Amino acid sequence: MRMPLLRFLAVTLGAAGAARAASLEDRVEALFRPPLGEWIALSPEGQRVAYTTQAGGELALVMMDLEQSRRRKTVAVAPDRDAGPPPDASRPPTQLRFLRWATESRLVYAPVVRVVPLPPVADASGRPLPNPDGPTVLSPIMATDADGRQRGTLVDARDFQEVPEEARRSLADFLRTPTELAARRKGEPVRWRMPHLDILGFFPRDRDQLIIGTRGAYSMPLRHLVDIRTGHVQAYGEDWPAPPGEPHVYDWFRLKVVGERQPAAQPTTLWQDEDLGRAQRELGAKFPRRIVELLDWSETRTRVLFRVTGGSDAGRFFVWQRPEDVVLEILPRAPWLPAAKLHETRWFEHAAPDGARLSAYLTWPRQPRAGPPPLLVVFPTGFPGGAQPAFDPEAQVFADLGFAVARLNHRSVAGVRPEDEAALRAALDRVSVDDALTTIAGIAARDQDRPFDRKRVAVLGRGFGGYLALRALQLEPGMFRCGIAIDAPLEPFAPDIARAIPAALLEPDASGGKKLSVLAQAEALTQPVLLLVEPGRSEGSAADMEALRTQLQRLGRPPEHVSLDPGSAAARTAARAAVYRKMEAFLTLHLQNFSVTIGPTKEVP
Amino acid sequence: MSRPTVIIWLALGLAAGWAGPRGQAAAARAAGPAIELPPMMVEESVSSVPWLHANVGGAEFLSRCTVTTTRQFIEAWLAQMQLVRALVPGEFLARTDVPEVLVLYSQGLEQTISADIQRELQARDESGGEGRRGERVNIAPNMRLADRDMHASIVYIDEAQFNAAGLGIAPSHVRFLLKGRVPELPGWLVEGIERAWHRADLALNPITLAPLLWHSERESDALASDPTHPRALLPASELFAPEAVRAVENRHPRRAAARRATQELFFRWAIVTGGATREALWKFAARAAEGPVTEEFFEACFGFDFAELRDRLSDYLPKAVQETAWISPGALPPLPRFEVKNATPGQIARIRGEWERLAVGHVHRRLPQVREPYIAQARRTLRRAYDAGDRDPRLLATMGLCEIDAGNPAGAGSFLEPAVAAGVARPRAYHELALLRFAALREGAPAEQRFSFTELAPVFQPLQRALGQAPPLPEVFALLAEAWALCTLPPSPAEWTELERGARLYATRAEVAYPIALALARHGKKAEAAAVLDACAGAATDKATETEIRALRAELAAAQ
Repeated sequence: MRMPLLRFLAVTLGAAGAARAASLEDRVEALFRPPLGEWIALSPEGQRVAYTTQAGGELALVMMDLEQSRRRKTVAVAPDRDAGPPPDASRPPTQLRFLRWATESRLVYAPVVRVVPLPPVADASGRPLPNPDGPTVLSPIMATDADGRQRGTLVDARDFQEVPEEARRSLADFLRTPTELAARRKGEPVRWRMPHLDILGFFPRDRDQLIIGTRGAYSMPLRHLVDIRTGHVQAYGEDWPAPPGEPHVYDWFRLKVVGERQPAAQPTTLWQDEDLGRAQRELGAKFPRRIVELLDWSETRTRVLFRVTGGSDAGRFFVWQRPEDVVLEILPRAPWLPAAKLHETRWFEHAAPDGARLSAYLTWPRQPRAGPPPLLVVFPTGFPGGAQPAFDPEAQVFADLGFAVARLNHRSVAGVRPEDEAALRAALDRVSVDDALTTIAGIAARDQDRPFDRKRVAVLGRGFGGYLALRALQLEPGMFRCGIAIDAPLEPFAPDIARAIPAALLEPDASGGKKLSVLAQAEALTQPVLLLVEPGRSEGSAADMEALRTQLQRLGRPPEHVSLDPGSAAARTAARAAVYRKMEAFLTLHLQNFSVTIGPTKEVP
Repeated sequence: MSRPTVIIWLALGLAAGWAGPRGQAAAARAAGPAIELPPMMVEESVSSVPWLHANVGGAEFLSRCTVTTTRQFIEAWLAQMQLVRALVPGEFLARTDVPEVLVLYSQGLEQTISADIQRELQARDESGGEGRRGERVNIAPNMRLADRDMHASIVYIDEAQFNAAGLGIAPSHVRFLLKGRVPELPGWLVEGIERAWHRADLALNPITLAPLLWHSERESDALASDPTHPRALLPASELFAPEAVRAVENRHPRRAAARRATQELFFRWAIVTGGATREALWKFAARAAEGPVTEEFFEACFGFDFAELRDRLSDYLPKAVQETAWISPGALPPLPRFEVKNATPGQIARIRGEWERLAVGHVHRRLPQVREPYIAQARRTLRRAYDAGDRDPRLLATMGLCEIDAGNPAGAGSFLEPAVAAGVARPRAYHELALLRFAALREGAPAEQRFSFTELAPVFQPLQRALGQAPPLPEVFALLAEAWALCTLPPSPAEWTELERGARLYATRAEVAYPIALALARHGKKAEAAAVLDACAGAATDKATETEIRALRAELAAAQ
């Protein structure tokens, strides 16, 4: 019955698709291009800022003078003494683990550590054994001047390579480096290990001295001072605690925790420092309805670096010049995406009937197709999962295609409320689907002058979100017309779900978990589904989805299925755009079919 | 006498003046600031060049240029004002029932200062006493002088080089027109338009906006070459802050510069974007003139919120510093027909006398020691027509106001009474007459004495008639409220409406809000009185009014 329509749509989509292919790819490339400033730091006097950028697939640092010329200087992050094997060309670009200004003119940074195991060795019988040496730790700590000169690696793990104590047999041995020692012991192997280098901060009275810690080799953890001008290393006998990582916010000048990032539907920081709390409030007033995140500050806090996200914008960085009360925009996260060309995105929050706060981002297409746009409901990826980001490239792509997109947060995104536990334990899927229904009703009630098409609502989710998308189709086929599940585990006690969900919420019931299983209730999946699987991402999910596919085929409702390109290839623009084209074709086919009566599909023999 | 070449900007006072060429200007800078006095016109007996007169477009022109120059000037003025209204709708400009006065004077004519004034200036120079050290006195060749209900300009024209096509409306004059609008427009709009006007060329069709200058050429170039170049824009919540909040905001020069630049950028963006955005601007501006605006209202107008506005302005900025924008004024109506005729002696005396009267206030503020000769000259000019039997109500009103400005209220009544009785279009005349009557009524009476409606009727009547004329003067509402506060009879619903209109139009003017609140309180409308005071909370005011407001608030609180 559907074939003529399918052919008609295929022809239509084919012609339109050919015309739009290039523009969709361009759009996807722009939307998914890595944003600027994934790492960003303000200098101690607040006159300079340094941030990361990816140029030609390589990580680079940009340093900018905020006070005078406001010129930028870009330098590549390329360890100059990287003795390890060349990085795999298909690997994503280098990432940083540290970026801070030591002084007003000297920047210290460190790429993410690479640990390269040595090849196995063979025993006397030729059997392979793990290599007793190594592994090679590539952990360069680098520095550059603000003008890009005097740039290079200060120290690396190999500078702290150690040999076992027993390898040093004389006083002279203690004065020899491991390399010298190995050279002296001709033919006699000398064991060695490289420690991990932890960056602990700058010496308070002399910020030219970087404090680092070594651990993981033969000796006890040690502290060292590294001169950031010369790379000269000296032992530091004092204990120096490692700065706490997320969710704590650490003041590198006052050497204390000043706040804590809170799990919430929108990023929130609980400031223990009164001054920073005040700064947060004042900046919040300057950017109403936006998320303001304080990232860094000058030593006197007269300059505060912060990021603003939310709304239709991809986000921007600012420096608040407090004495002047001037907010200097220093960098858009994605200057290639002007706000006026993005679809409007609004934060939406309302109360569920039981009082729980439900929240979502609603992205509205600037140019909907004829009539009210269809609604695509996106479930969060995990449980309770991180909060949905304020800016989501995928939502923009779907809005480009004419969909209104509602990205839901779990009601428990800020933590499970005690009063929710019983309901979640009884039917975690039901709670999430009911919340989705409540949110849809809330959106419809709030923007009555801008309606979406309530007869054309689709669901989408990844991972646990994919599971919920399929459960939504099973539980509420009258509301949801079709759905897309990506790498979704389909059994409630599958490792991918069990890992994410607090054990207390996932107790097997008398049915042995069948009530929560997509697979066990495959016959209830009457609405069209598109299953997307990335090979190698999750064996369990892939197996579940294959099983579902088989079951639905057996039921005479074969799902559409797409096997994604494995690994990083999925991130390639062409591959990504192709996937979105498939999703669009699927959604268009199943949402634009006006003749279909809303409700469970009746099988006709 | 040599004079500099004058580039004519309509209704703009130019600094180059009597003192002449550039060399003198340089010397003037070295000598210190100059006081500019209004130019005085020669007595008729000195020159035989005829005066011309035209009345068109809400303005009276009195010209001593040739008919051709006069006509070209008037046509250019009318055309330019049409273009002004194409950029700024007429409802956002000052509206007055009193015709604007423009006096055109040919540079080819001799310009003289009266002997009395010359003597006063000479005496001042010789004594070196009363004037501030280093100040010089120039006679400005072009100047605009304003009273509370009208304004007048004098323009010296070098007819040999006159080119009507090169005329334009000066930004300062646009500001004047915007500032005179009632209800008062918010500062961000007035300042934004004025700055944007500096980049506008209305002599071209379509109207041309030169690329935006963002702080400096260097900054603008940097933005043009790097769209991500750092820039400081004021957040929208601060851009649109009410005047009371602006009055106490950070005064750092960098912030002030950011405010000025953002105001200009916002206006330019809204105008250049055109269509619905331009309509949204004026809708938003109209509301902002009536009170503080909310983000919700902004969103209802523009379709997005404050934070997104900031983003959009920031994204537009790199384009604005590069683009020359053209704005079509749309289909303009044909210019009104007018005739340039020889002026009658009455017209000459009335209009010249008006100018000279306006000059009195200007001189009084800048060089009080020569005020008397200016008063004398104004009286002389006006009297000439009066003595010739002219009883034009406009002449009488000007004579009455001249006496008020000269500090002779006792002599004003005899001119104001017949002018008002004849229904002259002159709101200030009605106010001054009411003030005289109110003062006479209260003379010798205790401050708190109340009067019957019959006793106050002669005060109410001219004030109520003044409210039917434009502009609605704040002092009219204030005096009306003051009189009602002392009246034993409460106002009728229609009369309350008049006071409520005053409270709405001048919500943030304490000198208007206080007497209205007092009248409300005295007649039992305590809640309404408190609301009026709340609306002007935080507005700048003098100490005395502040004290009175505090006392009234205490009284209202005690009554609850």
